[in-house]
Amino acid sequence: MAENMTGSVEDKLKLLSQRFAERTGTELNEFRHKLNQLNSQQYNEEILRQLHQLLHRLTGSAGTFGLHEFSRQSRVLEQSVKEFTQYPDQQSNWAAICSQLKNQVLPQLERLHSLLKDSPAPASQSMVSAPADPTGNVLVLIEHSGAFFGALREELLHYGFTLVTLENAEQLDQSLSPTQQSVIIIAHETRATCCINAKTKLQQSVPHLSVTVICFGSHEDFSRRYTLAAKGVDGLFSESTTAPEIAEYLQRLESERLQASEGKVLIVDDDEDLLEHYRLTLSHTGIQVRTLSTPEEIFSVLSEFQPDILLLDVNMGDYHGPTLARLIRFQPEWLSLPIIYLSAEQDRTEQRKALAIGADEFLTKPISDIELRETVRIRCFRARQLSQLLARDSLTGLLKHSLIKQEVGNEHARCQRLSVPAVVVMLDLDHFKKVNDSYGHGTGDIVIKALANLLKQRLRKTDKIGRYGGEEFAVVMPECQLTQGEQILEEIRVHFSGLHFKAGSEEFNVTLSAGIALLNDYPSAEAALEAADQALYQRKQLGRNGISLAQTVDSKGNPS
Amino acid sequence: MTQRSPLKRIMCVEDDEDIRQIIEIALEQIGQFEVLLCENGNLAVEQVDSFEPDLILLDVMMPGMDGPDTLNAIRSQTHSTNTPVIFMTAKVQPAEIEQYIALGALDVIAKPFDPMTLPEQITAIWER
Repeated sequence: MAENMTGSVEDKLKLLSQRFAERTGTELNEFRHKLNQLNSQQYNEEILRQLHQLLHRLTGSAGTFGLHEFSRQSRVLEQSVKEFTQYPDQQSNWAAICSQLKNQVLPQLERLHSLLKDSPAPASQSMVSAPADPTGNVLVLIEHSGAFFGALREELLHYGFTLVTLENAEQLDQSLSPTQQSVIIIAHETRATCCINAKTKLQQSVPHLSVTVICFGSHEDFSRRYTLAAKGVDGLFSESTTAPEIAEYLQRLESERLQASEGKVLIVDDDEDLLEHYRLTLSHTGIQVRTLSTPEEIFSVLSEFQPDILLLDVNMGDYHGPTLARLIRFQPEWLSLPIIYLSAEQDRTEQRKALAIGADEFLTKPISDIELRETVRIRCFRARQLSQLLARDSLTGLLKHSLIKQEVGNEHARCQRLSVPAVVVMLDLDHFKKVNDSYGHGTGDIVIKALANLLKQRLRKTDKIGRYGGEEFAVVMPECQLTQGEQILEEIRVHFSGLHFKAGSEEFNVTLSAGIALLNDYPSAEAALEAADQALYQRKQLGRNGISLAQTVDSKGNPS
Repeated sequence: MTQRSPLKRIMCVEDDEDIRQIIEIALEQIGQFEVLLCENGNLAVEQVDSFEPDLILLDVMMPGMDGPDTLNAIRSQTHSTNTPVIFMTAKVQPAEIEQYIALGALDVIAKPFDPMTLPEQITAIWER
């Protein structure tokens, strides 16, 4: 009797331990997610408190559930987080705290997480099946001895990438959050095979995950590079590549990955059942679909939805697709909209005739679901790329002067309409002329690109960034207060000044100054831009390498 | 061992659900005690007089009303002014233990505890 009792108690305890491990796994993941997102956020005292509380609780409970090593390590980590909470002047040291949280605490949380696997609980199962939540990119660096690796790691941290350093690629699956969408592995070329194996394994267990393997090394010869390509390595750079170049490359990978699943397609067909089928077929691709069965409304839908591509049925009752295409091309704003015909027309001559009237491709009905998905995806991607090329500054990939001004205007209108705060920032490199004069324009360009990439990486995805002039940048930050904007910019200023640039054997740093204005305080977008520019000018007068807030102006036009 | 103990009814105040459950199993099934679980100090204050525990097991760190606050409230707002209390905490610095004893606690049990020996541990404190 007594033995039976103990037996059932042990079973119950075991069950409880499993549940504890599962729940703790989820909690740790949520926290890793939070820490991962810290970079673009403002001062967040709450997160330190929460983290300390979580660790304190886990320290106290894990041992009870048999996870003794977990408890021990959690206690150590709890101590170090406690030190953060006692940091003097947390707010002004927030950038430093953030970077330590991400570079020291986060990997330790990951280590803690991996200890859960030692429990009897199938914690790893629940990890993979947890609901997907986009957390973007994580960069996994596979440790390598040598100066290049150390310097690379340090520089990438300034850009705000989420970094995890592992001893080898086999540890990868333990250190990923289930919500991760994309992983970029960076390793020395001697580790290529190992990384590719890890990639294959990862993609089998987490199908939605995008994994990119990038190697570095000293080999420049063709056959060596060819071997690496054949192994399946996605990118290769030499150890002479500078950190800004690598950051730029990584950013391009990220934006291509994001763009690959973005896009808007409008489908016009008179057959509503078919439209519904198209919509369903495309619904899992991440591409936004709008369908229309009444061609009369096409112009209002076009201007409201702003699709990247248009799919047009050729024969729609009263209307003829190619004529509709010609009509659309009457409007200058739709001259470059890619149009793809959907038709049962098999005759090549007829198809060519239709294409001549301003369309790009012919999809012959019946269209297989795969063909539809792939065509739409690739076309959307190319269309977006193209419009970006047209809208963006070729050196930095940021919005051109006229477009960023337009964005400031749009945001100003939105602020007025919805009474939400937004800020505009004017930003300028300090003593840039000196950089150009001493190190040449090539080096100057590298500095400009580095700042552009740092801005792209550290600002939020919703923020708009433009190259306003030579070394002058403008940023619009929607739903952002003046103080928030100031904090974010301050973080950027600190990190930018920490970047090391090289010219020949010389190494140097560059600083920046910025002026910020609250869009809501000004009657027009131009006035706000002017105010931010004034604040920037003032900053330069007071001493560079800093951020100034614009003086608000009362209704009489006097500074208040 | 535990059956012979005069200690019968234990109230346990703990905010963490996992820990509450494991304490329930440990104290009821291993220790054969009658147990009332409360997830916060307010509930403990409400229920302590009707349950009339022999002993209160009190977690120190809880959101809202923490362990010492709960002890104060029980002492000042209920009839259970003399019920012995044992604190549970993951902070086990000697100074803190002294501080809890000064508040009127019998002793402090360090977290993490071993559920299999928790009843013994409590009984030993109780019999001291």
